[in-house]
Amino acid sequence: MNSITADVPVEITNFSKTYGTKVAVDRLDLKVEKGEVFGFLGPNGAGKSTTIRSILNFLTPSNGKISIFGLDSVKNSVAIKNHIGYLAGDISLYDSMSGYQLCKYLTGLGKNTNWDYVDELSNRLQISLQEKIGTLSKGNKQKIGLIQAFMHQPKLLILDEPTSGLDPLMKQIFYEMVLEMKHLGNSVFVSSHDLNEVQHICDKAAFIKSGRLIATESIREDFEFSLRRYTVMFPKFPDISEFEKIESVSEITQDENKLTVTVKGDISEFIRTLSNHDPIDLSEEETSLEDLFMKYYED
Amino acid sequence: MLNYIFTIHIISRWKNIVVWSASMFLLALMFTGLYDSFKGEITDMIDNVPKLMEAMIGPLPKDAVTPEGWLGLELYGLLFPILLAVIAVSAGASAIGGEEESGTIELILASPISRGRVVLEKSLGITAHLAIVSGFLWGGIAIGSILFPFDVSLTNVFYATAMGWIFGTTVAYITMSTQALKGRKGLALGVGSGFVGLSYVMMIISGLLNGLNSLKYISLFNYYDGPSVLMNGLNETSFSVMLGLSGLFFVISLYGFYNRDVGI
Repeated sequence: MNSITADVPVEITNFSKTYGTKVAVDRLDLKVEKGEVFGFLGPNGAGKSTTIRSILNFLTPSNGKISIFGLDSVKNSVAIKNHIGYLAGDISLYDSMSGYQLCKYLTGLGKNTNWDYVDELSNRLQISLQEKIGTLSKGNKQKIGLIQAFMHQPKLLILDEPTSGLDPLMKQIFYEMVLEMKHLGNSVFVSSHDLNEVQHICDKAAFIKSGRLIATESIREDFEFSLRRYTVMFPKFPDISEFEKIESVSEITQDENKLTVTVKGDISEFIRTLSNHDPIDLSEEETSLEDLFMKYYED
Repeated sequence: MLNYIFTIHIISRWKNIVVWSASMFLLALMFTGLYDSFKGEITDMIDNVPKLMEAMIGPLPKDAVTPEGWLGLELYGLLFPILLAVIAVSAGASAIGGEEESGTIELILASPISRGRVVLEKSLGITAHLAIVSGFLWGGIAIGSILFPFDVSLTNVFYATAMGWIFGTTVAYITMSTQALKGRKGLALGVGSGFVGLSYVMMIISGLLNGLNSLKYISLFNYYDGPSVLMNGLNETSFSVMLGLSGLFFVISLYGFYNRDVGI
């Protein structure tokens, strides 16, 4: 059996997936580092689930390569899955089994379960593993789904809409679970529509649109610096074309003597240009991940 | 023992298995019990059967007044293979198709297990399912031969039951291979049922029209031929043909499931 040969949990290179003439994912490049919580964002139909299912070898790439810990996702699919925990979006479980029986079954299929950790998770998530899954609410089924994904403390967790159906208290516990995995040096690849959640737990986020990667942004420490909105008042309105030439500036609007711009990344050139025009007032607005999402997807 | 796909496959179908097994057992008891009352009329019944009817139920046993002939006429001629075919088509389409339809296949394939093992254990599950149901038919006849005046060769009954079992397994694997190749349970149900229907029509046509007699070689019912086995013992050639077909369609299932996208 092949074993882990590299420290890079996920490396996607020039990956494409087509169905007939429809291109679901187009030349995607991604890299998830060890110990990183990586958000994967995009509207419905953008190619998120296709990418996740290809990582797990449910789907075969039409082009390109997906490596998990240095192993090919197709050729070494079985060996790779020793180190992966997976929670599907809209997860389907066996209704006739209890949570405990499901964990036993998946352990029988090769997962190296830490049973003390299973007990701990069931206590923290306040879910009984003795009840038949078919009798549980959607939220409680989601908790069983989370337990089966985390129960072997995998080096790579792949989570598709992990907090769907969870109440705010349980979401908080889930965030703690993710951060604990991160502190163990494990990596988490999470697809979510909940932008607050991504902003809360992720180190980095990739934005995908119509199957193409449009941006990868750092989030945790330096996100606040990556996108800002400035409103500037001038005694006399300057030539707007000077600001349009600045690469980091976008979304320029003018209202009499007031200028509003969005600056992405380094602000030094914008500030230098601004200082040449004696501004009389300057205000800065922090931009949320939601603003960033809207910026990428509104057109 | 909740450790293997095979075990879960059997457990998840226990109601189906119990119902069909009980039905087979009761059918067997009923026909063994009725034999004594009808044995005087069997020759008249055979003499009055129209040719079309004979083509539909297969060649009638020459020695139908014996318990083996009675079973061939009433149970193993058509009823047993058709019932097994119904079970087999359903089991073959839903073995992997049911997991795909419900989405639980993702739980299995996210585990460190090869797709080949999934196909293997599901195939074993189908085979065991059909063996249990068939076994209860044999068990019913065995019990009936004790309870009623029914002096039958249980060895030949076992062989005829085994022919039915391998017939059902072949039908199930043909159905499963369609699902494994295309990922569509409905299509697999159609192909499996269509195959059984076409096979039956081939048998009828080959029995009615001398010029088309060779059509019987493409009918699975020709290889099954339970009534002859009851009279003459196991037909190794026919058994081997169906075993070989089962093996072929198992390999096709492996190939199909290995080379197809799952969970689109």
